[in-house]
Amino acid sequence: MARMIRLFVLGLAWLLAMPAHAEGMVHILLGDPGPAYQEAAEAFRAGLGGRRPLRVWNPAELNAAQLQVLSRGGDLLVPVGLKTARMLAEQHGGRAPVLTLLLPRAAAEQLPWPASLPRNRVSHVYIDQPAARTLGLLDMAFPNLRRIGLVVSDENQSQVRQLLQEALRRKQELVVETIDSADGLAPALRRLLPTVDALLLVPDSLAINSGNAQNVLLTTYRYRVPVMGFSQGLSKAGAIASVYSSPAQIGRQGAQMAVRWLHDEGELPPAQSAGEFSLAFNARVGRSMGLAMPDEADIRRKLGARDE
Amino acid sequence: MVIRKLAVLYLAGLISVRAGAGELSEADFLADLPVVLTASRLVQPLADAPNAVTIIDRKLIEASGYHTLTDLFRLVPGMFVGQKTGWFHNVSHGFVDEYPHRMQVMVDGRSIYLPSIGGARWDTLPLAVDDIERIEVTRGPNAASYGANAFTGTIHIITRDPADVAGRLLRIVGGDQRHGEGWFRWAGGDERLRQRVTLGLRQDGGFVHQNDDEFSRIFSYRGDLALGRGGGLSLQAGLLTGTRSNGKASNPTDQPHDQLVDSRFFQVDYRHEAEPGRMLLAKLYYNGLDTREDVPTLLAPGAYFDVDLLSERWHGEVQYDLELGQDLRASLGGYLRRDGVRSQTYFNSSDKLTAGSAGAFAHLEWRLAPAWLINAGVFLEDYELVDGVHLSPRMTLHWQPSTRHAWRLGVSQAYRNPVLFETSGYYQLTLLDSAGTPLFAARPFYISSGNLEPERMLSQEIGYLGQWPELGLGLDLRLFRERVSQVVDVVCPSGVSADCKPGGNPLYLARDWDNGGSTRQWGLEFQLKAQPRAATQVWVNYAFLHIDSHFGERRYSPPQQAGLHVQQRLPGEIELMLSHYWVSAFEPIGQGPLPAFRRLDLSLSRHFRWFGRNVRLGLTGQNLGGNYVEFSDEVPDNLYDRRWYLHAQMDF
Repeated sequence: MARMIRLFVLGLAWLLAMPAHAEGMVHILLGDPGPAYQEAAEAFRAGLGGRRPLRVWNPAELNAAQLQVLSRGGDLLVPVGLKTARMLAEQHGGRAPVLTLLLPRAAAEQLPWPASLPRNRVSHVYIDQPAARTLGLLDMAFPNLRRIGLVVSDENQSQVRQLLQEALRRKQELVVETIDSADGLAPALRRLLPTVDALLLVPDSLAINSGNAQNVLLTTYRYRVPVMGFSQGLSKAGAIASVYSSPAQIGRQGAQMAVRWLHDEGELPPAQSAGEFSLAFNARVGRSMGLAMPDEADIRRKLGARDE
Repeated sequence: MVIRKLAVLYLAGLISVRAGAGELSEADFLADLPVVLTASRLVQPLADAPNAVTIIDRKLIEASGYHTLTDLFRLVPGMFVGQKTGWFHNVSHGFVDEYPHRMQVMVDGRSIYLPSIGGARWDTLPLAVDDIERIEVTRGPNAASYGANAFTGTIHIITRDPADVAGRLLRIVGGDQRHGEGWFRWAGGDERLRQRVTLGLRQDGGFVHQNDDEFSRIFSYRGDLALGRGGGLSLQAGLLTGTRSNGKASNPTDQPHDQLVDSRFFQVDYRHEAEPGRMLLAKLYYNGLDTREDVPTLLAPGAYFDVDLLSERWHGEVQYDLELGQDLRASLGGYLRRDGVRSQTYFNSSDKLTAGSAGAFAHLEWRLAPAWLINAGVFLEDYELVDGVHLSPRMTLHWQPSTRHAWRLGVSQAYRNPVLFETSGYYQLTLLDSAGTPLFAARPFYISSGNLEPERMLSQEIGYLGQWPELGLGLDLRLFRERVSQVVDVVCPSGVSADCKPGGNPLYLARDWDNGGSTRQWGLEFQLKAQPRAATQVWVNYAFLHIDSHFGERRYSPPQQAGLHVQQRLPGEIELMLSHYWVSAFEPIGQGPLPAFRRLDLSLSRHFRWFGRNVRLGLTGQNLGGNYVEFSDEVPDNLYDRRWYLHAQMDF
């Protein structure tokens, strides 16, 4: 009898320990071998904490046939990076839910998911930062930079709307130059820089990207206009401050979303930026421009940023 | 550059995008970019600079509405700006002189100081105000950075990169006193070669009661060539020719006539940054100003005086900047220079007189601790026309308890080398007949015995820079004490009265110069900047100077100067700027007493798009109050009246 009771209790404990959504596993799809992708995948794995079987697919293992097979099942697929996400979107043939990591919002919105895949089965942890966070950093760290310039192309219109609303709320003035070709960048900067206190960089395939960031920084410095960047690299290169989420922070956010979804067994949480973020300052450039650099620890504390 | 700022031209940077801009990806966020704004590219933060520095940037230049370069210096605390004639401008920081000998003036690191008579002939610069990126004005001695003559201050004008002005610009200005300007600029190029060409015409009627018209034709060129990894070459050249009306119908020995002006320069800059923190800069330039002036007289039919004057400067220099770790930066270099002058009237010789000089400098910027910084610099110079080698050292200690407050304690010694007219002058007017044959030689007015030493200044100063960004406030304060010895002063032969006329004899004796003078002065300068609202900026400038002079000039600089400037951005892309100046009474060197004066200037401009072109229209009012006496006590000749100007410019 005692043995029966022990078996019953153990069985009950096992049942209680089981997640509500008992089926399937999580597949992290690493189409790129770079350390940033590994970092995001590792953080995702750690965040999941063994709640679900997890497999990491390496670039060599991922091919069109494999992706088609995976997408027909019910497992959660987590492509890391745009290249892998696009490959999956092109090969997706079933109803497997997808949570992408590290994608720029503008690029994520362009992915060619099949019509048969319900949109609530696709979500993202963007690499971009929300408008409130970006403008909040400017507002808090450099309160006298009120007139802020922005150069974007049409792909960033939704982001611009959010920034305009946020700027209005914070009584900042956002001056937007929209360009329709890469050639339009130099004249746009020439028009904008003499009239603004700071330039906000928003990643944009035509306006600001890793290919032209160096030249944009040189130009802004000639005008002595401080730049607010969107990556650690930009702050190192010359932007006075940047707010960004590291791959690990994005991986952890992805894991939290996956855990929530596994519990609820419903729709994937909506696409979002990572809740965790970091700040990078370039005090040397700021001081050279005559700016009073803020107390970085104080700003981090006020904005709730993590030290990386 | 740090410590010593040569014009660091951005020879390797141009807006360009990666070929066929591709899709955005996470790589744009994760890319490990190289350090673009390296320490050697950055200008030294004001808080780390060993001097008080005022920056007049592009935005302020445009907001001010000033079309005359010298007017911009009204925005600098303690800077006196005046005009002796419509075309003869004067800018002095202390020691207000007709030919300000004691300030160094540079354009892109090229000294435009006149080796013949000193100062800068501002009206002869082949430079458009529209081609200026910013102006850095150092208030106080700076000889440790720029050598002798950076004695009471330094003006450094930095011109615009062709990439920043790409396209075509047309600008016209018109206004009172027959003022008219027309400018055309083209700039463009590719990543390898960027070029800018500016052409201009300028005319002005000067003062109402003076024969002081100006007419100038101006050409300037700048080409920046990228030479690959971290290297670049910049070539500049300029030419200004024109006429300056001079003389007076009522003066029998100086009848109305034109001075013909021919000013030209070329400049080559080489820059190489082999690796971050190691930068080599080399510079070679030539400046030449040739003024030709036949002064008609009523002394004999067709008789005239020839007062031609040629001033030239050849200069080559090399500078090496290096970072010796995170907290130590150094700059080393040297120069060779040859000055040349030619004038029968000023130097009693038809040959060119030359004077060579050589110098070496070293600077160190050492951050002892996060809040403590030391700037140490020395300039060693050997000038052919004075005995010995002279050393201009400077040491400043900076305490920066927070990012908002910075204190500076500095001590320096500076020299001012006498100009060629002081060391070798022999000013004698010779009356020539219409064929150029000498008729009569007047008594020489100046004969230099040539026994001059450089003037020497010992300076101590305390500086403070404070920022309160949440209140939109910034303060720059300088408190200083200066002792100048061996002041070069005009003297009469010994035992002769102050007017050099012995025993009431109407015939004067020639004046000479000696080093017998000295002076002590102390004062304070401040500039308070406030931005109470995003669209409003206010500057309050004030300068006080106490002079205890022991040479012929007792009140050579205004004891007080104040300025209030308000800039307001109005709806509809309209900019308004109001500037009010007040200068207390004083006596410029060699001039009569000048009463205190006020001046109110206004600038209103609107920017808009017209058929896809950027257009800017402006209205500028100068001296909106009553007339005042400008620079010289000659009334009514130097009465400055109210003037209005209209500006229009268009990119196309």
